[in-house]
Amino acid sequence: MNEQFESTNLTYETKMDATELMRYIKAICIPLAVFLITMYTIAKFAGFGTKLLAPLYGTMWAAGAICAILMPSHRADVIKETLATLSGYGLALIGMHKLMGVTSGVSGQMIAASFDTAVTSVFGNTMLGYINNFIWMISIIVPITFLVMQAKRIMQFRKNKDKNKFYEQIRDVRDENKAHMR
Amino acid sequence: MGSLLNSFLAFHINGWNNLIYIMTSNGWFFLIGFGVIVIILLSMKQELDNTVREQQNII
Repeated sequence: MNEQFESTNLTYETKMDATELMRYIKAICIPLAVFLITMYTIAKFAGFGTKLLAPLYGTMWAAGAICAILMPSHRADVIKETLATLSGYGLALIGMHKLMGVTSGVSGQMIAASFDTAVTSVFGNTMLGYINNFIWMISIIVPITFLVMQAKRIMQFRKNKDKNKFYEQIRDVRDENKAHMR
Repeated sequence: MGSLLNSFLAFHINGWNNLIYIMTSNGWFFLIGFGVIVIILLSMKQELDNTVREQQNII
């Protein structure tokens, strides 16, 4: 009776404190914030967003999630990397979109005046083309790089796992033999 | 005050319906939703695994 009482009631367990709560809130809010950036970017680039950015974004989110499921030991790194890449991607694209808005009404003469140098009169028109090229490059190269990196990470992980398995088997054989030799 | 609350409610119902429409009209958004939910769950699990609750006897 006495023993039972001791084992059930007389222990003290520390309660959740503010720092722990903050970590839980961060674990939920940071991915949600990146999700909002994702949605905003896709909505901002209307047709381009739904036809090209949504598939690329979807592939990147899914690749990050699958890597995090497959590799528990790399989980923190994978999640951090995925969220950083996705937020950087979105912010870069939104920045380019804003830049396009700013430079759309600029003429060659205005650029010449602001840089205090001679530029051709058509530069005002060609600059938009450059920004457009940048948007295309960012929107395609970043996902490809990210996916290749995650694929490499999975392959490396598999290789290391196989190597560890092999060493463990060798150790087992060695230790068993030692036991017999005694 | 009542109309203010009603418009607040209407704004949010409208927002949710728009989000549901976007998610259902483009299949790729399911992939994004899957990724977001898995990453939130896994980072929560990681925080839970890292937490150590101290247990000690009172006397």
